[in-house]
Formats: sequence, structure tokens, C-alpha cells
Amino acid sequence: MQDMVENGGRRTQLLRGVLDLCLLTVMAEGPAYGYEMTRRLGARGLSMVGEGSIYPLLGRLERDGLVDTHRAASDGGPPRKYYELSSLGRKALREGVFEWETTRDAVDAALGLTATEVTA
Amino acid sequence: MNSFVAACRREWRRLGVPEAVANEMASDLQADLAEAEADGVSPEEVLGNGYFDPEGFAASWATARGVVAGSPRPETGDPHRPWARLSATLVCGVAALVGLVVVVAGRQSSTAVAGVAFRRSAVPGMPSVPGVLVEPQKLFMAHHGAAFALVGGVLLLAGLAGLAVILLVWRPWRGRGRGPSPDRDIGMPSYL
Repeated sequence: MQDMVENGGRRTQLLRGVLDLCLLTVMAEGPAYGYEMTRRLGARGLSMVGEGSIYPLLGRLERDGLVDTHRAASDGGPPRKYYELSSLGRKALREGVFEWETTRDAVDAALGLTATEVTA
Repeated sequence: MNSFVAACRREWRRLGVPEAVANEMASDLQADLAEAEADGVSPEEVLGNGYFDPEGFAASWATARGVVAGSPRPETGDPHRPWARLSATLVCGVAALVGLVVVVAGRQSSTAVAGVAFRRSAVPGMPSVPGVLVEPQKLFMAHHGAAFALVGGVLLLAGLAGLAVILLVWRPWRGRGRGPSPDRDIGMPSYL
């Protein structure tokens, strides 16, 4: 546990469990290519430095049918692969967000109880 | 070409990723890295930890897309193939059971004929005519009982041998999920 705290492993593990939801969320704003999604995540305060890459995850989302893809010209650049939510992806996002909120609330409650016990 | 992208291409070639797919991934990666550079964004921000391990990154991406040649697609990547195993178990089990039934029936048929020879007539008032009431199928079994027992024995042995082989190959007592995952097969870090 000490290693996990010192090496920032906890953040990585937490992010690993929800990065797919983050990607689906930024895709819900509109179709985006890989780097565009990195930008959108960054705008929400989520940096990928020191974390996993989004590319394998995008491949997995595509393979699982949660995103649709098409190639189109980007602004002044070469054609890019755009990802957008499929109907299955929207459903997965709704369910995932619900699971996240449920888990987060339970953890918040547990941590709040612990904090009370520690400070008492 | 960016050296990172070049390293990825080499890895995709090594893994047998179809050329068209590799071209597409390389093109997207190249364009993303060029755009990030123009924005003053570090490659690490785009690639995460994969930036420090291009081969692992490339393998991870290709595997996630299910385009690595010779490896099972991740969604069907259970190394134990449960349906095939279940079907084989069912076939061998049925063969063993049928074999057992045939062996027992073949053995009983010869004694059944002897019993039938002393059966009495079921019609009141009619004299008993031993041997007349023998049923044709029982006679057939009596004459061919040995052959049936032989066929049944072969079926039984084949079924049991099949079950033994399945148990040896599957080894359920070692627990599920001990086999390497498709990701580990190609020796890559688990980025996601």
C-alpha cells in the first residue's frame, strides 16, 4: 500500500477503472479523433502524463461496438479517424455513470465515517 | 517518419498486423503527434506511459483492436474454449453411457431367453407351450449379445478415455484463468 501511495499507483488504478467512461463522455460532445480527445480530457483537468494511453482503449471500445468510426479530413490536416458514440455506447455510458456515482457515494460515506473515527 | 511511429510499425509487422490496419494506425498516430507538437504538447501527454515503450504500446493497441495475427480475438480469447470443452464432454459422456447400457443389455439378453423358455401362456385354459412365447427381439439379442457387448464395451471405453483426456487437458482442479491472457502472450504491459 505504501508503494501504491508513493508511486501514484492509486490514481492510476482509479483512472484505469473509469477512463473508458471519460472517453465516452468527451465523445458525447461530438465526434473526435485521438488527439482531439486528449485535448478534451485535458480541458477537463485530466492529464494522461504518467498514465495509460487512450489508443488501446479506443481500440477496445471500437471492437466492443461502443463507438462508431469514420475517416474524414481534419481542419487543414490529413484525414483522421473520428470516433463517436454508438447507441450501445450511450447505454454503456449511462450505466457506467450510474455505477460510478453509486460507488463514489458509498466510498465517500465510508471515508467520511473513517475520518470521523480518526478525528474522534 | 517519427521514430516512435517507426518502432510501432516494426512491432505491428512482427505481430502480423495486416498492412492496411497498420498503415491506418500509423497514419493516425503520426498525425496526432504532429498536431500535438504544433500545439506545444509533449508526446507523453498524448501517449501516456506508452511513450516510453513503443513496442508495448503498439502491441497493446493492436491486441485491443483484435488485429494481432495468430492470437485469439480478445472477446473470444478464453484459452479453454468452454463450449468446445462442454460439447466434447457431452459427447464422451453420452458415448460412455450408451456403451454401458448396450453392455448390460447384451449380458441380460442371454439369461432372458432362458427365462422365456419356461414362461406360461397368458391365455386362461390354454396349455403352456414352453419356448413358443419367446419374443423375436429377445432371440435376436440372445444371438447377437456377444457382438452387442463388444460394441458397447468399445463405446464405453472410448467414452471414458475421452473424458479422461478432457480432464487431463482442462485440469479443472487448477482453477480457471491460469492461462496467459492474450495481452501477456505477446509480453506487453497492461496499459489499460
